[in-house]
Amino acid sequence: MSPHENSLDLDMLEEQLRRTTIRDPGILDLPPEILLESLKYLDVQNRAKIRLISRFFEGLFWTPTMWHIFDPHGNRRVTKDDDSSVLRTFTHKLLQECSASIKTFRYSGLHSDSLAYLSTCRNLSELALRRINGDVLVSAMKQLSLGGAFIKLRRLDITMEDYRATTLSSESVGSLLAFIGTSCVNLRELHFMTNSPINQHGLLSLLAGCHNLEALSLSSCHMLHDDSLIAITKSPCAANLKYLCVSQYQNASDSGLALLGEGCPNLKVFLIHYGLSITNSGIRALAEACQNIEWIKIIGCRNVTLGVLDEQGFENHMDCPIVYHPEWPVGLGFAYKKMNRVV
Amino acid sequence: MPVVLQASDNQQFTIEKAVAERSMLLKNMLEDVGEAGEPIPLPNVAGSILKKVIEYCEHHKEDPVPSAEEDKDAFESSRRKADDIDEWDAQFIKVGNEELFEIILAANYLDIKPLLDLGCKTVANMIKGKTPEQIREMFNIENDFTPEEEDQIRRENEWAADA
Repeated sequence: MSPHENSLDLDMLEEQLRRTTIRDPGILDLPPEILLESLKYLDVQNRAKIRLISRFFEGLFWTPTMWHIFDPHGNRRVTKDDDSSVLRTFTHKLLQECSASIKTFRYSGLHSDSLAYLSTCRNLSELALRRINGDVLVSAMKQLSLGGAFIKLRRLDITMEDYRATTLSSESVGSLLAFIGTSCVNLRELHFMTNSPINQHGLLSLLAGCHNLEALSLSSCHMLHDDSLIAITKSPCAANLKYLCVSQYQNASDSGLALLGEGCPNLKVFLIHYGLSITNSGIRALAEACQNIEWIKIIGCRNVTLGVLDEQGFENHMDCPIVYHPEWPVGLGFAYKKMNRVV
Repeated sequence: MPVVLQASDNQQFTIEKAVAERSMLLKNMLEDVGEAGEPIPLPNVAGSILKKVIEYCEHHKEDPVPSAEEDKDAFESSRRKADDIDEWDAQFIKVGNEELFEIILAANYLDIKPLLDLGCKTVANMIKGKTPEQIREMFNIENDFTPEEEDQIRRENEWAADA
């Protein structure tokens, strides 16, 4: 090596040393808790990618506080294939590492082994199990009921795997509802979407346990009849209830709706789907009784005419922005919005 | 009564009290010491960055004070979005990486939560949609994985790859 080359090397070393000692701040100079705050804004796909940046980022990725929310499918419309074995393995690892910090867990097509892990999430406040197999859920519930995992749960959203076919027996639905009533006593919102016969016993256990319910959807539940509505009006949550969605309400009558209005005077949003025996007078009675009602949405009720609430001071809308249902297309049925009274 | 701030390089800035109070650190300090009129030394913040931070506080001096009840509901926090940045803020935060990090560090030190959030969202937006290689290059980060480790993570990540 010539002396000339040697001196160049020294210059370079010196330059490198200077750069590493007095340099401007880079991303790695941010305190980790600030970096975590930034990374929390990323959706789960972008988050997964940061693992590949460096070991440091892989470490950040597995920090429990990163995972207040686990929602691997995001807003994508989910097909059954999304629950791949790779995602399942990842989900298990996450549940093992970060279960205590997960507050929101949304998943489509969860398998029974993953469900068992859920009982370790002691701080869950929102749980959405979409496209889940009914039998898997029922058997998992039996194991889960041993823990007290769902005591903090405020919102529960259950949609069956195939919401078009009847998937569960009335007994199974009953045990599910009873499970919710005993395990999720602080629930504020329940969206229960099974295309299965509702079970009156189960409904009563649910209502007896969940005193603080403010929103209740019993969608695609068969056999809803006046007794179901009356049970709701007599429950401890009747006065708190602001949102009610009932569907497949084939066996109920106008008088059931009138009683519902009297028993739940604070309803703001009411949705009825496929109420075949309902007529204009039932809908009007409900609208009269609920002074705070903002929206009524009517789908597939053949004896209710368009503009039924015109004289009650409602506007006709194509859709109600507040109705929550992951499976129903926007614009189904008719929505009526209460207009502000001119004093 | 104006407040005088002194940056690490001894530059001084005279600002309105309402502007200074966007910083929780300064707000508490002012409550403690009263209105002595002495310059407040900020040894962790350079003059050029402090100038930028003051510009932000001036613009936002009339904003309502953010409520302390943070993280009140998982339901709400699930709606946090990185692209929810107003136009003025977006222009304000269009700065080089180093300056961005210095602003974030200053916002953290001075305890200006909305500015810190703005910085964090900006970092998230820079990362979004880029490949790990591009992120490394952008932030000057060395890849310290072995090829085997990298492969392993890639396999674990397959479920998230298509989006």
